[in-house]
Amino acid sequence: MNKIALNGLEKAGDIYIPGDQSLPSFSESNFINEHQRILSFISKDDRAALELLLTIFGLTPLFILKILFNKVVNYHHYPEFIKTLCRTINVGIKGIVCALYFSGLEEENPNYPQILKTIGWQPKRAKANEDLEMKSLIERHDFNSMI
Amino acid sequence: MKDIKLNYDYIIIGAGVSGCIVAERLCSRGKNVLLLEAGKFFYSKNFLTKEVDSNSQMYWNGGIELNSNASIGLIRPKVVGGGSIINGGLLDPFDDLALEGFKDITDIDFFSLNSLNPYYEKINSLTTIEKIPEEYANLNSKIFKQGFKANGFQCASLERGQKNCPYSDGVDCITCLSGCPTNSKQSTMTTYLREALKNGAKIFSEFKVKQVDNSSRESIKVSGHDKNLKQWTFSCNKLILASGAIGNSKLLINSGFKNKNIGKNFYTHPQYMLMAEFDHEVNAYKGPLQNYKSDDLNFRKKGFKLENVFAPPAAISALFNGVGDEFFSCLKNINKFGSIEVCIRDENPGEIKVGRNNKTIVYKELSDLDKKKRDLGFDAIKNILYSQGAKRVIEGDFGIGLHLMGGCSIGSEEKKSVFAPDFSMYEDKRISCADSSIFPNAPGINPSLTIMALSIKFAEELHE
Ligand SMILES: Cc1cc2nc3c(=O)[nH]c(=O)nc-3n(C[C@H](O)[C@H](O)[C@H](O)COP(=O)(O)OP(=O)(O)OC[C@H]3O[C@@H](n4cnc5c(N)ncnc54)[C@H](O)[C@@H]3O)c2cc1C
Repeated sequence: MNKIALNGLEKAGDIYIPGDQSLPSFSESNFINEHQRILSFISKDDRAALELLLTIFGLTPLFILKILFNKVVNYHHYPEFIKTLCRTINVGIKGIVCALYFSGLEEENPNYPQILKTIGWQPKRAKANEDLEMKSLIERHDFNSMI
Repeated sequence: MKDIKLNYDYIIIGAGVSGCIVAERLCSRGKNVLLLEAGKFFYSKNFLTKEVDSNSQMYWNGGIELNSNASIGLIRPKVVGGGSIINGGLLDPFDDLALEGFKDITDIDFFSLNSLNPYYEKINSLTTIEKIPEEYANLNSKIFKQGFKANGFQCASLERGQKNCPYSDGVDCITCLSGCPTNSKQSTMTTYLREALKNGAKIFSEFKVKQVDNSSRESIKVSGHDKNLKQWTFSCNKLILASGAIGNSKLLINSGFKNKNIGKNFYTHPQYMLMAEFDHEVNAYKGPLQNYKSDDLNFRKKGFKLENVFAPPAAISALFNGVGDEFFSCLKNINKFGSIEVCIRDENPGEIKVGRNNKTIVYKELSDLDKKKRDLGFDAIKNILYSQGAKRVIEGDFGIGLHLMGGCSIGSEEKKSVFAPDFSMYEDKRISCADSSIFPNAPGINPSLTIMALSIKFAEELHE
C-alpha cells in the first residue's frame, strides 16, 4: 500500500478513533504498522479498490474528510446506490481500523499502547491443550505439511 | 511429494461441518478419502488469539463479504473444521415447523422428526452436547432471562457441543470464537475429522478448489491450487461437495454446470444485534458466551428468535453508529453494554452469482415481511432491555449472515432443485452433497445439528 493511502487510513482512523485523555487516537497508536495483517488477506480487487479510496482520503484535507464521514454514517435518506457505497465504506474502514486498534497487539509488542487493559476488556483464555495426537495426524495426513 | 496420491474413491471438497462427518463415516468403512480444504489446519495448540488475525485468516475475504447492497455482512468460515471451529457451538434439532417447511417445498418424506431422530441420536456417539450451565451465566445472560420473565416471554437454556469446559477456572468462552484451545468445543475437526484421519483419510489444507471436470465417464477430476499457487488435479470415482452454500454454488457455476437452480434460494437467517448501555458494568465477555434463547411459540410463529450474545470489540464495532466521540465512547465503555440478537426466519430468497475475477456476488434483501419480523424482534428486545434498566438501546440496520444456507437445494423435482432426495446431483449422479447448501428454505433454527444429521444419513446410505 502506498504512503499516501496509509496516510489516508490514518486520517480516516482518527475520525473513528479520535482518542481522549486515557487512550491515543488511531494515528498516535501506531497500530497502522500492522496493516498487512489484514490487507494481505483481502481479495486483489477489493485491495485495489481500497487503495484507491484511501489514496483519495490521503489527498483530502482532514476537515473535508470529517464532513464526508459524517455524511457516510448518516446515509439513511440517500438514494440506494449512494447508501450502498456509504455502507461499504463505513463497514470496511471501521472494520480495518478497529481490528488493528482493539485486537490486543500490545500484548506482542510493549511499545504499543495498552488499549484492552484500559477499556477493561480482558477475557481469560484457557490453557491450550497440546493435543499431540492431532499434531501427529496433521504431520502424517495433511499434504500441506508435505509440500 | 511422492507420497501424494492423485486418485481416490471419494474426494470431499470442504472440511467443514458436513465434510468432516462424511469423511469419518466413509473411512470407518475402509474407503479411501481425500478432503480438499481452502482454510488452514489449526488445532488447540495454535489457534490464533488476536481478533485481527482470526478475522483475516479464518474467514473468506479477510473476514467479511457484503451482499450486493452492503446491508448484510456474510461471515463465511475458511478453516479446517469450517463453521464448527469459529461458531457458537449451539446445537438445536429442528422442530415440526421447520421440517414441515422443508417437506412442503421438497416433497421429501425424510424431513420429519420421526425419520431424522435416529440420525440426531447418532451424533451423540462422537459429540457431547450439554446444556450451558446456569451457575456460570454472566450478567448479559441474566439480563436476558430476567427481561424475558418481566415481559411474560418464554426462554430456555441453550444446548452446546462442549465437553469439560473449564468454566470453574474462570475461562471466558468468547475467546473460543477463534477456536477452542481445550478441545472442549466439539468442532468436527476435533471429533469427526480426528477419527477420519486415524482411519486413513488424507486432507490437503490451504488447497483452493477451482474446477470440477465431470466430462469423463471413468473419473471426476478436481483441480485447484495449493498455498504456493502450484496447480494440482486429483481424480475420484465419487465427488462430495461440502464447501457450503456459497462455496458449492460458485464451484458449480465456475465449472459450467447447467442446472438453472444453482445459486438460487439462498438464505442467511439475517441477525441484528441490539446493543444496550447500562449504568453499571455488564462484562458480557465473562464465562459462557451465551446461555439462553427464546422458547416462545409466539415468536416462532411470527418468524424470529432471540438469543443473548456478544462479540469481541472489532466485530462489535460494526454495530455502533456514528464517528468520533459518539462511536469511540461506545467502544471505550464496551463493558457497560449488553446485547441481544434477533435472528429472522427469512422468507425472501437471495441468489449467489459469480462476477468478474471470480468475485462473489450475493443478491439478498429483506422483503417487507422479513422487515416486519425484524421489527417485531426489535420491539421485544427493547422491552426486555429497558425492563432491566438499560439507559439506551442502539438499533442498527446492518444485518449479519452467519447461517448461509441454500443455493443448491435438494428436492423431488429436477426443475426446482439441484440435488435429488438421495443427495445425488440431478446432473451427475456421481456428485453428492449434504451440507448447508441443500437447505430449501430458512428453518429459523440453528442449522449445524441438522447438517450433521443429514450428513450422517447421506454417508451411511451411500454405502448401502
Ligand atoms: C460466527 C458464527 C457463529 C455461528 N454459530 C452457530 C451456532 O451456534 N449453531 C449453529 O448451528 N450454527 C452456527 N453457525 C452456522 C454454522 O457454522 C454453519 O451453518 C455450518 O458451519 C455450515 O456447515 P457446512 O458444512 O455447510 O459448511 P462449513 O462448515 O462452512 O464448511 C465449508 C468449508 O468449505 C471450505 N471451502 C469453501 N470453498 C472451497 C473451495 N473452493 N475449495 C476448498 N475448500 C472450500 C470452506 O473453507 C469451509 O471450511 C455460525 C456461523 C458463524 C460464522
